[in-house]
Amino acid sequence: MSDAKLQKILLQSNDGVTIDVGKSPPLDIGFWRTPPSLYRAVAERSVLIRNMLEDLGDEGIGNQAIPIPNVNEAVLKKVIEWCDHHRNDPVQPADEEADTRKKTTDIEEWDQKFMQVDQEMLFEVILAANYLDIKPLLDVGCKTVANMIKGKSPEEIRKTFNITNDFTPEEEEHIRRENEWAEDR
Amino acid sequence: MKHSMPTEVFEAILANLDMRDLLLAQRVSRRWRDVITASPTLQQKLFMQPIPRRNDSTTEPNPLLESIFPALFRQLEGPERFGHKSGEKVAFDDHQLNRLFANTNNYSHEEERQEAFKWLRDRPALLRGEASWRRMFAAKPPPRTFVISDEVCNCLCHYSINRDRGVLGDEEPGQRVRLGVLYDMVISFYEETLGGKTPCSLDWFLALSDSVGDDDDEAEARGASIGKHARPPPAVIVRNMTWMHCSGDSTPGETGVKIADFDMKLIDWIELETDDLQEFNFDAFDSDVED
Repeated sequence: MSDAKLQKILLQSNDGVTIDVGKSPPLDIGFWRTPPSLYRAVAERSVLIRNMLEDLGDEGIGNQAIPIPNVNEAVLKKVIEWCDHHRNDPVQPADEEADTRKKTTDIEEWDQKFMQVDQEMLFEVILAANYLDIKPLLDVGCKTVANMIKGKSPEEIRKTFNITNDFTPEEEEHIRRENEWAEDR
Repeated sequence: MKHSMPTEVFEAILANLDMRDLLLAQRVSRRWRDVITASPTLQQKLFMQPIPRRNDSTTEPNPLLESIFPALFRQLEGPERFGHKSGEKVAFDDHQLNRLFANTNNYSHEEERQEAFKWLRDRPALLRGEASWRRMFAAKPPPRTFVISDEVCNCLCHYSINRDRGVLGDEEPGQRVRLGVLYDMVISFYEETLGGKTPCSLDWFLALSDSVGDDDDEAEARGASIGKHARPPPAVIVRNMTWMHCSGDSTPGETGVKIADFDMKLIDWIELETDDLQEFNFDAFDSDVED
């Protein structure tokens, strides 16, 4: 790793907090642990940030914090925690078509624990991963939600995610009749 | 699910579900139904929208229907694979994998067939006209070649063959044979011939010639060994066999037992001229026909 890769990177959440690793208070939320450093390799898990760094260049960035307008402090820290753990993962192949075939709902143990958060945070992390373009994190988040849906009846799904049934009784009955054959398990 | 969840993320979540969960998820709310209905990825996953056939694509049979119709959707092995007489040579061998969707065949297995249909009758949710499996394809990508074949033979194996065949259009997703249509063909045939005196059978093949694990070199060698017989493309083949009692050497005539109720307009197919049939080698299915 070159020296340039070890350059410190500052991110600024939408609630105005600059996340500078050396100064962030240790272990203040959940099982967030303060990473030893927030280096390029971590930040570059995000395609959005990687492109931004490339466009601006080292000099363009200087000591400025990169604003992340769609993500708040707690979520951004959570996302950085994931990026730090996965900083050495091989880069995903660009061929998405081939990727979907291999897709399973297996989630590695560390990621499972990482995703054990309340629903609000889970969805925030998924949205942040989508915004920051961190595909592996987005995949883990989507699989986690999918596992919460699997095997449940429509009513159980509504209850799990607090969803209002906005069908008319006739509409719902129509869909039920179409798919009742698939209900036997 | 939060309303702010962008559609593409919601789709990515649902793409992790299996077919059964995906079908049931449509009933959660309008948003869920709309996302599933409008997404080409999810519709393809449900075998309701055909994926385009590419040169390297393999054909994947519909796994949910295999589990739902255990009595009807089974793979036959060896001589039983084609049902009829053991001596009959039907060169389906070029198809790496033959799935038999329904087999009202084998009147020697009458009990088995009664059992299969009894099982179905006990499941009204399956049989109702709006059941969503009827809109599904048997495989993806769905075969374009569709063959309906009425065949009559006597005990000396003299044949009379009356065959309709077509290649289905590539453009319109509707121009493919969906399972409901196939099912109705088989059932109407079954109802019609049940208890009849003429022994007859109906085979329904999903012939997947370019299936997974096919060895290209081997396939090529096989192609070469049978000369002009190129490997047929994946096809849906419905074949009715009727047996006449022995009436001498003559070719048997029409029996009137046909897959008649099928409305050809339902699949909007393109009738082929003889020259166009180069693509599909029917000789492969007719190797035992006498002159």
